[in-house]
Amino acid sequence: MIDATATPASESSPAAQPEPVRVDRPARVLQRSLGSIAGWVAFTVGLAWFIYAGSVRVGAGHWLGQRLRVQVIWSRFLAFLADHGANSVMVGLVVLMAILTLLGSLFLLWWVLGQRKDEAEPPVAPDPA
Amino acid sequence: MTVAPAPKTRARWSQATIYIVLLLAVFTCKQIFSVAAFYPFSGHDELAHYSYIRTLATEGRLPVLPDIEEWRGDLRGGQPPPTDQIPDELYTYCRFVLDWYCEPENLRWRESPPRIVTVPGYGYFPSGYQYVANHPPLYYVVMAPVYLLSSGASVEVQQYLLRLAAIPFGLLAVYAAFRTTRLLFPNDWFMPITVPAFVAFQPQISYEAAMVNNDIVAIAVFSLLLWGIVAGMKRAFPPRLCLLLGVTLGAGLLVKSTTATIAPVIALAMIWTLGIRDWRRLFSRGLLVGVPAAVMAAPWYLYLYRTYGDLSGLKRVEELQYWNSPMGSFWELLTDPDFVIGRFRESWGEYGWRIIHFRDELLIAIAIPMVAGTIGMAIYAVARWRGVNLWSQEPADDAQEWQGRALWILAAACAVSYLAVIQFGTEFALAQARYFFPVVNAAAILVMLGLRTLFPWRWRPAGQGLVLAALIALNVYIFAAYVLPFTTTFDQPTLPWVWRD
Repeated sequence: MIDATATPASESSPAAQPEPVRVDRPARVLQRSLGSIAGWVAFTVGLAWFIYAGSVRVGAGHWLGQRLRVQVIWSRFLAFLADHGANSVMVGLVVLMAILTLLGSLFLLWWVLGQRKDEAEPPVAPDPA
Repeated sequence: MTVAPAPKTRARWSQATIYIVLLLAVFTCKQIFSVAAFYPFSGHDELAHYSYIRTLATEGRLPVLPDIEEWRGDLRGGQPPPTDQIPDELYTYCRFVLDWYCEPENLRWRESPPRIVTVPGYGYFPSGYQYVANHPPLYYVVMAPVYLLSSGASVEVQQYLLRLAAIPFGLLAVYAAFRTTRLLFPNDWFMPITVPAFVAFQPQISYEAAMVNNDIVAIAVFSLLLWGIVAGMKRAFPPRLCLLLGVTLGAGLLVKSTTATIAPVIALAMIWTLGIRDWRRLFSRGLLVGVPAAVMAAPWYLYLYRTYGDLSGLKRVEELQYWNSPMGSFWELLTDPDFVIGRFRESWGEYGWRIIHFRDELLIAIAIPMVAGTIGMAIYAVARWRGVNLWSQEPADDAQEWQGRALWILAAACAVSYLAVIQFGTEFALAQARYFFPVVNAAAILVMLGLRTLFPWRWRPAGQGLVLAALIALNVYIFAAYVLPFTTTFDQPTLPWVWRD
């Protein structure tokens, strides 16, 4: 029977050893201050509220000066795309990109809030030459 | 039988790499969305750039600006003067074009778009011609395959595909911002996070990276050059880097003539870094930059000279655009607050041909952090000059001599670029802020450094989050209140379709 736990010889050589792992970091969430976490949550909730329930005073176009719900503007924009020949796949792609942008931005913000000077980072970034 | 876990041999991405990959991914999604969000052909001169690509792709030649005297001579002879025109089927978008008599609701003009206009006191002029025909060809050459591959599609679909093709150049600008900042501030997170984020979320840079226009390529080329300049200042301009700078500069000159404004900045950076005393080395490195740039760009500028009698074609533009008169003298524009405010408006809003105007409240909200950043930059400069440790300075912050010089060079790049906008305004009414956009990375570094100066260093994580959150919120608001309503309702007949305070 083959023992699948056997380690290939090459991996046991010192050269192939993975680099020493630093002492485990605390969970990433703990690297953020409570204020940062609260700020992120407030921003996320605020953004979600703005998109689903908020309204804006329109600054351009036929609705100039009107206060409209963002959701209404969004649905009419999607209708505009459909009216101008975009099929459901294209409209779906536009919606997907908008959602990915928003979610990605929020994740990026979360990540950034926990980022401080990291001793493990290489001190010098390579340059173009 | 037991199965062992896979050995942990994967290379760990650095935190910085993770960040820039995430940012570029978000930027890509945002840009794809933006391509659809902006009304077709509403970008700056998109119709004219599209037409240039079409001429090049279908006829295999460059378009030419009409010679007004020759054109009028042909007209007097009764022959329809041949000009490189914006295609008839695009007349419905004529509101987004300069110099095309625009009455798209008029059935007569819709069926046969106007090509000749009479201006009382001035005479006949061509209408609907390709007024960007004097632009260098590289962008159009790169875009021609996209046009040809989509030649069976409608003009709108082709336009969307060409808009998508602009995104990689935006990515390049953001990436160059990141690398430049990492070079300057290797021990800091605030700067490498906020500077590329600023470039990625700056509304007008994003707009440029989602339209058919050579601007975004010029921005990308400038961004690479600024990165190269900073790297050169750090490493005393090694020969290989000089050669790279020269080739990039040459490519830039084949994208947009504005690229020439970076040449004196490169020269200044080299002189400051290498010193005049070692003039042999300075001269040889200068040649390594100048010769490839000149060799690459020479054929195009020779062509311009032979075709138009100057190295820009602007004299012919001036003859054709009787209305595009100077805005004032250099000194007048330099000291005119309205000129500055106008450029500030265009730096953030005024999408298309100044058709989406931001309200003053929004502009003020944007101006506050920009002014704060400028003040912070001044505080930083004075503190560094006087050797004073600020509350915002982290013990490990770099303050090397080369870095200080590089920051001054970036400031010089901004100054030269702004003065070039003013210079353009002394000849044409259409001096615009977007001529300043190529140095966005330099401006972003300086403004973010100024903001960093205003934060106590222990607050930097919160500060970098605040900057990013503000940029995200700004984009969501601009799309919700301005861009999407404009796009959605542009087709509806209405008089006050834009806001003007």
